[in-house]
Amino acid sequence: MNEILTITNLSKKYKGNDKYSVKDLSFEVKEGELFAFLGPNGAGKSTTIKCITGALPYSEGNIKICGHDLHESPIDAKKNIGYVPDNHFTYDTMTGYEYINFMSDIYGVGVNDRKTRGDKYVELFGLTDAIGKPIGSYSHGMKQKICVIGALIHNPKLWILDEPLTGLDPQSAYNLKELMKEHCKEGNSVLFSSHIIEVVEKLCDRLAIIDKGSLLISGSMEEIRAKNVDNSLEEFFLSVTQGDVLVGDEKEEFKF
Amino acid sequence: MTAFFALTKQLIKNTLIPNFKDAKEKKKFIGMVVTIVICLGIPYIAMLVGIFGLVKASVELGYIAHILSIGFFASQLLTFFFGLFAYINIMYFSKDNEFLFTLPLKSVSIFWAKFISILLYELIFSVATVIPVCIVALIAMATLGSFSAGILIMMIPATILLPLMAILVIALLSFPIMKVLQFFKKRPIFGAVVTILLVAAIYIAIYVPIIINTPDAGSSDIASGAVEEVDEGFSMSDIYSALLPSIAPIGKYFYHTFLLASSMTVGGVKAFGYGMAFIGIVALLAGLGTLLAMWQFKRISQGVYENNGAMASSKKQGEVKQTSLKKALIKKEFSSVLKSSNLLIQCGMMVVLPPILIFLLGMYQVKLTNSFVALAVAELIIKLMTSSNTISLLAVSRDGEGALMAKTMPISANQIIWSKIFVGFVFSAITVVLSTIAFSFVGGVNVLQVLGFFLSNMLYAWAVNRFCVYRDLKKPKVHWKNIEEIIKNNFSSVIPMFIAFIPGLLVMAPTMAYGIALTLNPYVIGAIYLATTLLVSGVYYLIISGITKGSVEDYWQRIE
Repeated sequence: MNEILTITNLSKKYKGNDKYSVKDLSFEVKEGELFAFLGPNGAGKSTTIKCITGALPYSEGNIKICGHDLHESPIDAKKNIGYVPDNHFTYDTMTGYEYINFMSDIYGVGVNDRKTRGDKYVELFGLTDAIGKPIGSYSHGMKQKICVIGALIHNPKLWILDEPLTGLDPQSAYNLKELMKEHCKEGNSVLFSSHIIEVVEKLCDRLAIIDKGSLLISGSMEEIRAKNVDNSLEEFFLSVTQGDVLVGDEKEEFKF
Repeated sequence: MTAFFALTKQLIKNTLIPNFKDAKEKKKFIGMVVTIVICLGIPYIAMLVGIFGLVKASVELGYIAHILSIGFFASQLLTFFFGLFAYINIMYFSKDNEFLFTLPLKSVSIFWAKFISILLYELIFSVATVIPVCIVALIAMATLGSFSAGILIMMIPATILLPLMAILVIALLSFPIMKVLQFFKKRPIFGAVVTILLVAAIYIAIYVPIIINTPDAGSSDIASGAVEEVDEGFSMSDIYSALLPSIAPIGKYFYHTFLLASSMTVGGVKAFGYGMAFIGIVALLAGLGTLLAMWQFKRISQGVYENNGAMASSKKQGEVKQTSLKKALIKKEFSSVLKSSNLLIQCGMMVVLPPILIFLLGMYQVKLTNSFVALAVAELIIKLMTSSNTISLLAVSRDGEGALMAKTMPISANQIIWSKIFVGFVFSAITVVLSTIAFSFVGGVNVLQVLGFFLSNMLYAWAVNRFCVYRDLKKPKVHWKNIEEIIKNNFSSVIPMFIAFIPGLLVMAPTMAYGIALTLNPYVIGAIYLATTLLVSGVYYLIISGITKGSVEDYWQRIE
């Protein structure tokens, strides 16, 4: 299988911070693979994803998307990505329909393709009645859905989702998971971040567990299970992240 | 449609077309715009009719290029003043940057798409100033039997190129400003202070050459002398003829606008040369802007939202102290202001710019006329500036969804709102104190002028902050993720500033009239001024108190 995403020794330190948010991270996502990025809050999942998508700069390491180096040919690399951010940014003044058209224009999607794909996803996510209304009037979940449609309109080779299931109703969450699987079956790849272990366990082909910016373990579900015969993935996750799931490195000391 | 055009189209739409929730809101907005256009349009047309005589006299005396140059430069200053922070907010603090950098677009394309949307927005000032001034010049020349094809040919290019040049200058200045802000990212107060000083230095750099190059009228008072001459049977054109040799030469010191104005008025090959020279300057700035944008725009923009990550992860040891509710609320208000560089800069500008403008313009006015004219201008400046206090204009909105949390606390809304008015007033009061000190140094000022200015504007400052806080309380925008969103999209200053024209002009007009037309003892005029300004501020205070009385709890409960 070809590698769709290759990350080699990626390190990221935020300006003004002494500590690395991501340190020496290496992994790859192969063609047709549904890859999960698992970690506690503040582990560095979103930072890594933002580096991959070009939202954040990085000074150490390499990121290659479909063979294009993100530093050397960012436009070619980004053309292969569809990104659903955790904050579901869209322009509130646009209608859902305008947003789909805007994203199609940005990625150079033809009229027929944008109509076929747009109609399919709008119907799938039950946005038919809302598609002509300004996105500003959408609920949290509806904004998430329109972001998903915008990210898929150019049928990207690599679909990246940051905490995709947060705020979705059960039916939409199910539809999204099915869509992720379908996208991979078509020969594309999906990379998503989550801290919901059950979702990761049921959905992904391979996963990486990250904590405090460093990769703890990566491999297929079978490989992880083989290493962890006696425990569930949840127990394994808690053991590798030393039970520090909730607070991570964000502890605050108070003097009384 | 190419990606660049799709993005530009969308950004233009975002910048120029307001987003209405419903037809009622749209109607209300249109009604407000029409009212403002009518209210400002009538005095503006009257002013254009007034300057017609001045332009005509300048054609006769050979100063038309100088006068046009002053008009064009004034238009650029307007674009500069109103555009600087709008530019920084849209270019660097926009929440869409993080999204746009993930799209397959070059950072230079994003830069120019944003730049074009800002330019179109700023064209409003240019259309409202450059075109009317050109038309007035054309008519003035026509009445004297001459016709200038240059004005006709260059009018539209000038309307576009003048704000373009101003925004290019802003673009170039924004790079060091943003660098300063990022350098002091963990100390927003230092960052804001350095930025304010930088902008203040720019203002001083613009005004000082104007003042230095203004011929001193000495003890003889040009304007009042001319008015006295009117009584003896002279016409307005004689006043203009008396004023022009003093004012017009300043136009030559604005080299770039003088080139443009000359291209409109001299005719022939020379006009073409001047026009090309002006276009060359703009092209040079555009080239420089592109180079800097390619090098720095993405880096700075990404640095802005990267800083949020850096700030969020910084560890701070908390110290717990007990304090009274009133102090706690005031402390919380100060803390929320001092932690946002952008809010701090806007508020700092309100504090620092009025004294600078009052001093510099005051010096200029005193050179040309006398301290009462300077005082009249100072009154308008301080009233307009204290009405644009972002701290009070966003008093509730800047709490975000914290305002909803505050509703669940056992605190009276009156206490919360009082603390907000108080903190807004503190910043306005600093403005008034500094402006009073600045005014007292312009020369020829007496104690009654200083006392009247200080007392009336302190009263006005309390009232206007109360008004601004109540306006925000009525319709706060509490659902935001980043405070820059509400600062960037803040048009709430329009109404208080527009209303501020009323007390401003009510004090300005008689003060200017006393200064120009009366020949009484300066202390007698000072006493009349003191009574007038206190009366206006007092009435304003009573009206605002009446409007806002007893509605706090109601409005507070309606926040959702």
